[in-house]
Amino acid sequence: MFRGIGRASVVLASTLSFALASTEQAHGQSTPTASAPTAAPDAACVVARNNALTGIAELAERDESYLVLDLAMSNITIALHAVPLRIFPVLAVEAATEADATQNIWQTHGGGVFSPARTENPPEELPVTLEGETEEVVQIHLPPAQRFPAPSTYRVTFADGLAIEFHSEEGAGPAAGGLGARIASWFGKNSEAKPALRIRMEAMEAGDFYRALPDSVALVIAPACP
Amino acid sequence: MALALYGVGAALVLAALLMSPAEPAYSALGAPAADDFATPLPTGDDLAALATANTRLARTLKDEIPHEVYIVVDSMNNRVFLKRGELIEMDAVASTGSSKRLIDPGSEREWVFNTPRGEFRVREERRNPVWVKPDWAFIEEGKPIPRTRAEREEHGSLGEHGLYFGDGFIIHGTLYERLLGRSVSHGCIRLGRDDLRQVAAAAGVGTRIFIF
Repeated sequence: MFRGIGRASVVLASTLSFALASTEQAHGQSTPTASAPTAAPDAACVVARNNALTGIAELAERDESYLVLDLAMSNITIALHAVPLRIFPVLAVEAATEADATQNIWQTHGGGVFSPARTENPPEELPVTLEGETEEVVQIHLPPAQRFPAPSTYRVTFADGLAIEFHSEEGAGPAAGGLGARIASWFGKNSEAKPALRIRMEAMEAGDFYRALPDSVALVIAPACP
Repeated sequence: MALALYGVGAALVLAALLMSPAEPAYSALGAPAADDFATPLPTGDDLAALATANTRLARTLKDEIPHEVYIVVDSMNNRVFLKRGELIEMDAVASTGSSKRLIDPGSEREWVFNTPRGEFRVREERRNPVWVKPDWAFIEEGKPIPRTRAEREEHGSLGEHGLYFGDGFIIHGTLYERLLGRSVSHGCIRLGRDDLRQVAAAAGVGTRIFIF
């Protein structure tokens, strides 16, 4: 049911420390040799990083958890009060190739709603011995992955229109080019707008992330800069 | 004749579908570009100042991550993590609130057994805690609510340790370890014996608990 659980310590780089090294690199501080030329910081990267940092700082003031998609670390984190709570590795982050697909993505996105909504499978009946005396049959919730099964593809749409589609590894290679997609597209039945971003995750991570997604969640995208 | 026309029409539709472009393409999301922004980008001193601000802000945020032990509870996936800074010291299967609703037919009082979300701190730590059963425990069992505290006390059901974090919520052990991983509690966080020992050994009064 739960793979990979154990007491072995695992070092995970903090999502929220993403920008420190990158910023220093932008200043040329990561190359201590005197003869190395100091590269001018890339303005787009500096602004995107500043948007991400200020976004995190603002969200950290609230009592609600939020998401940080860290492109440099290839993960997405659920955070609260500037503390990374759970970090989910991502396999790939892709953007639609249309010219304006990434416009305004380097800002805080609020009001994220995921779809399809979680559907709950009914509990099962299990015999339980109560207080070491009698055995009763009681209704017990299924384990999370069975109680709230995650679809292989799901979407989070933010209030500003940014839509992100999440694919589990098993769900990778969606209907792109498939006859079904073509038919739906041809007849204009793709009622949802095309997502600007597509994120691929390992199936179990994608499932846990789907179940853990907070309602009306905010997202900050931290850039990966050279 | 009409059938032949329908046939030709169907063939044309099928051909159009097959020749129509596939789902629009995606490529790896790269570094930000100037045209990603609606406003002109800063240059010169303004840009340098922004880069300096970034360094300062990143350090401030990094300092917010607790250096000491803290507990993270993923209530939807029934997982508990014991973390220290950026290190995960334990990843355990737990049980959290069942979300079930209980109504007292006599008084119409109502309870919903959810695990609270947010940031908390361990307020009290007890060894071999005694469960002082609240009213709902008796109502749920269909038993009369006792009048004395002694009648409410239950020994042994909470395991070896109890970490109390407010409003009656506790991180504790369980007699029903086979149900770990399922949402079966009345809002408390249940751990297996060995995991509870590890949490109790590392945490104490004041330890931060983050529940999402």
